[in-house]
Amino acid sequence: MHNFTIDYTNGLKIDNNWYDTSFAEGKESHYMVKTHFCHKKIKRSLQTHPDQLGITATIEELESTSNKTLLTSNNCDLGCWVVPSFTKFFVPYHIDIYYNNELYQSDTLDCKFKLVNFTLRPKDDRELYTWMNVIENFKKQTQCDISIKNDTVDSTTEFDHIADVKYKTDDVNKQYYLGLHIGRFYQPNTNMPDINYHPDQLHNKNSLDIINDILYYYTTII
Amino acid sequence: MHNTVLMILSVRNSKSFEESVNKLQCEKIWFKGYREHELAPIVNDFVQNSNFENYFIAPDDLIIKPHQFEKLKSALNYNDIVTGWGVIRQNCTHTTITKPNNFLQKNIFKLQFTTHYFLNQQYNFSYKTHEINSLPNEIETAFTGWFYTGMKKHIWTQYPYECLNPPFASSDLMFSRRVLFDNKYKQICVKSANVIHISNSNSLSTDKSFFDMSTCFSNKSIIKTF
Repeated sequence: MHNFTIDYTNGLKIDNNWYDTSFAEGKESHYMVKTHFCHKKIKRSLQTHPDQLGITATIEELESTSNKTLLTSNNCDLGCWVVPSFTKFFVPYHIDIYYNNELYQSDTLDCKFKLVNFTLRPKDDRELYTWMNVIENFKKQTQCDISIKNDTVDSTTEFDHIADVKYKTDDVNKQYYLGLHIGRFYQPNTNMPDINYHPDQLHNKNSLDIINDILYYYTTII
Repeated sequence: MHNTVLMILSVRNSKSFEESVNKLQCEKIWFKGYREHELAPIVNDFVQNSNFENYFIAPDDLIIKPHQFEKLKSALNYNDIVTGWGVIRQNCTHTTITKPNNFLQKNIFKLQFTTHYFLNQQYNFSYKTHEINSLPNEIETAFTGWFYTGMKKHIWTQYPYECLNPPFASSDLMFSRRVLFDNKYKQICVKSANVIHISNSNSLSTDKSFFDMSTCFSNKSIIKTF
């Protein structure tokens, strides 16, 4: 049997890191990866609950539907890796790996109870505070744990209610599930924003827009 | 002095881990720089020759919050063995909470088990992350993984720290296997004590900033807070 690893620590990379020669005998010498993004629509309604103390209001989820849209389809030789997308922002991926025309393995990106790392390169402390607030919200929404690579966060206890694990900005370890970079990233030797980090460009973007583009472009914005 | 001690199996220098452990309301003993096999006589000597009420054990790639550790301590008042839980690795949806039925048929309890089984998706008898929310707060598990596993001294002395024959070690597997086989005590996982496992097996072997095999065993020491 073959083994595939799906790595979300810096974008998306799929690697056939071990293949079984006898299993592959008489079968195709390549595998195919279909990459989708999942979109979930949740209908919510404001409900009122009359009780002895008056009326309380809650937002309740009525129904949710999810669907997936094909992003890319790639063939790759056995024993080799493939990067189906150079995108570095958050994409709610669903991956199907086919071998010999059969679905061999599937994976859906799910951060629940996993460690999500943010490498933060803010322009100033005010921007850092803005981003940490958004990350706190993301943490609650996804029920994930958070590691932060940032010198300021690493040197203080102020954000310990958000950051479960702290590193210096340039720490290179990848001991987490999903890795995201927040900052302003440009194509080499140009002033052009790198669209792999900034799906909606950078023009007129404030601190909140920048992190929202990274985290919510595929789940809320489009 | 606290009546609880945490035994820390430490081969890394992680600031986040040290900070999280320092916040825990218990005494600590750090076994730094020892291989898993080397620790067997040392850990067992320590348990035998000390007089704490509760003994917890954890490696230094697991982070727990103080309130979660308090829940484990309090659960130990009415359970024999308690443990936190977490994902097997960050790149794996399976958790350490393992269904206890038919444990001897399970691959992880076979003595030739290696982590290669995880890669082959054969670790399919544990709960997955998306199944956890529907579980009760205390769940019997067949495996603790040393995820802040705690017990009284008399249980430690009945099931001393042991490893598989080299090159394997898996002291956590050996412990759970013997407890399950004897069927005298239950290993209870406290759901609200979810522990962060800082480990991704895709990059663990190459991530020298996190775990450098060439240096991590060179300085051995035992550090106590008591």
